[in-house]
Amino acid sequence: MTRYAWLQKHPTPAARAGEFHWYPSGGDRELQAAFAERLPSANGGTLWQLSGDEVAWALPFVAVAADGRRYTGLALAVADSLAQLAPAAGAPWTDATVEPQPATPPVLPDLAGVARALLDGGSAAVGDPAHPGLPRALAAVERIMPARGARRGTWLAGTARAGADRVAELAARAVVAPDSRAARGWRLACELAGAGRSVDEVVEASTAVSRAWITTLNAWGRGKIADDVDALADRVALRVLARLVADEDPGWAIAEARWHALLPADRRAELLTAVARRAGTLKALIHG
Amino acid sequence: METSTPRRTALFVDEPIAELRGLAALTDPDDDVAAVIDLAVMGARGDGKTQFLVHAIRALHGRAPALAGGEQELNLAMMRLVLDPRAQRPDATPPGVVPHFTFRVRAAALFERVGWRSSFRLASRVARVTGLVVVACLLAATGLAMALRGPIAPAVIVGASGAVLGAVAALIARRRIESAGEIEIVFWDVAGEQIYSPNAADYHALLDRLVHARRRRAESLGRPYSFAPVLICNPIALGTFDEGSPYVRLRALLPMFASIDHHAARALIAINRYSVVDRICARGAPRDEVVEVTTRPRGESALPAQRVARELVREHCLDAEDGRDGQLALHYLRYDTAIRSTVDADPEAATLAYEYDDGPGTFSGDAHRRFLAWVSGLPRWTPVVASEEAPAAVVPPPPVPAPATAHDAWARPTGPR
Repeated sequence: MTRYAWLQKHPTPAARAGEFHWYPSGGDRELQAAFAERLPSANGGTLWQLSGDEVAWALPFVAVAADGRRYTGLALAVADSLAQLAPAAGAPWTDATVEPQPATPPVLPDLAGVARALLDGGSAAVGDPAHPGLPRALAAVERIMPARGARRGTWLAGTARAGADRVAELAARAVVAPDSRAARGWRLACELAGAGRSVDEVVEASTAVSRAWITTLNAWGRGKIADDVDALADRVALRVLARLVADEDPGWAIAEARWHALLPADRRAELLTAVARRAGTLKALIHG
Repeated sequence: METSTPRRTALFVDEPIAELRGLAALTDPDDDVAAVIDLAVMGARGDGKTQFLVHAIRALHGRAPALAGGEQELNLAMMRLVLDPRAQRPDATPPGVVPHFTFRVRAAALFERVGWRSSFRLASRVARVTGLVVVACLLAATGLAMALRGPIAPAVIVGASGAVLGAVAALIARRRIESAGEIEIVFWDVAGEQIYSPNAADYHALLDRLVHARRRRAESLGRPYSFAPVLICNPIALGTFDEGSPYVRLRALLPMFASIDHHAARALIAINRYSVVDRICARGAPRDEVVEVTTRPRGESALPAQRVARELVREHCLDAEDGRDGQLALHYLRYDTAIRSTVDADPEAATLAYEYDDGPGTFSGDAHRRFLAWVSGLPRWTPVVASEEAPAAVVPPPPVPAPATAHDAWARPTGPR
């Protein structure tokens, strides 16, 4: 269910003398103050805020009050998730205001930009930020995001694309083709992130090329070097990720550990168990 | 090499009053400013808070210090209006937000523009040349007395010595005030309609936290600090005895806000649109009459007529004088925000038409000098001994949870309660 509140000067049952007020009164004043504070930086876009169990969506509108002065108000909508949210129209509340209905999601012009904004907070161009179906379009992107803290930003009008962003592009590919290698790569990156590592750091680490990888593994298997098995398992996981990002067969990275390194059976089992422990995606890959 | 980044310290790591935003964006100067002054500008909707800010910044010849982020954006928006009166007025301040605008003025610039009495006061307090001035005055008076009663030559020598000493005192004062540096004045835009609302306590608490944090840091740095509220009074909006007016309600609360500064409770009441006051309170007019005032910005259509009780205008604008209201030291500033205005009165019909032209002006008449004198008199210039460490940003206590609001706090668009 979506709850609504309006910041306006136009009369409502809560205030009729032209005061700048929230209607209905008595809502979450902290949330309302947070959005009111961001009003000057909205630049015509839609303000949003995501936390673990709540999504807030505020559409600014410009109106002229009864005293003839121009003002910028807000139509705020709060729901449990983006998929459930039906934003209010960007206009002051009046007696004629009706409950918004869910609308068809629009096509997002910059999916990668949106993914980046949902990952870290920030702005992205979404075409028409007042489109009533926009939350549902964004819900498809938010669905693949790892568990994050509170994020906030602004959805801007237009189709301008953000600069090159390897991680956001991967997320965008995962949204477009949920069964693709990119989608599996994104899931793996999210699984490997956490514990002090962001998705960006994981993807960045996966690009590091180790030319003597097979030799290193073999040396470890023969007891010539004393690397930690978890550190080696992490490198196997990152090699799998690198192949998925590059749209290549990830099984090759497992085959390196299983066959090419010529590890003794006990060492091989120890390493693959450690790799499988790191992520469900890897477990499925190892066990076929 | 001098750094280009602002040398400032955030006073609050987070908003101390969760439902009211404004303090987390505040920074305090790290450089050697002569004093910091916070002015909470309060006024009812449409009474002219923004106009006051614009006029005050122009009167001060204020300059914006190097700021960053939200503080800089707010200053830029205000400077646009200060420099271009035709610029679009900033949007009204929404409830739950208290923006601030940071400006600086050289103490020496104030010294030159505040008139003799205030200059002397500033010289005594900042430059501490009272002794020299007193001796100079005594010599001049003695010289004059000698000239009247005895030979003229010794009288001229004594009088001239006094004059020379006076000139030396003025030069020393000038130099010391010049070296005192700049005064940082921060204007807080406090929406009056929120002050007489259920949220009033939050606004009071916010200003209280502000003054507490500022004073703590000022004392640690050995820097004078002052806080004072400024209440805007628009004579046309005073209403009638039956209706009351936001100004009258805010005026009643003014001592509460002024007393937030424990060191001295002072406040300024700025009466704008003063050119209508004389005409409303015309000699011989019945005191209990209600006058209908039509306001019209030149070149635009007239605003709806406002009814105002003549006696209220007399009481709050014409007869109000500087003085004390209990512990509160109260000053009045009378000016017209317009650079040109005409007032046409029809005594028979008890109507008044006020046409004005806003421009890049500043406080009209004597108000300019009076405002500068009031500002320069705010800081306690007596030296403060700096403590060892400047306090870091105030970490607020966990916010007190708001009274439980049931899920029905939100309206359904089809039928809000």
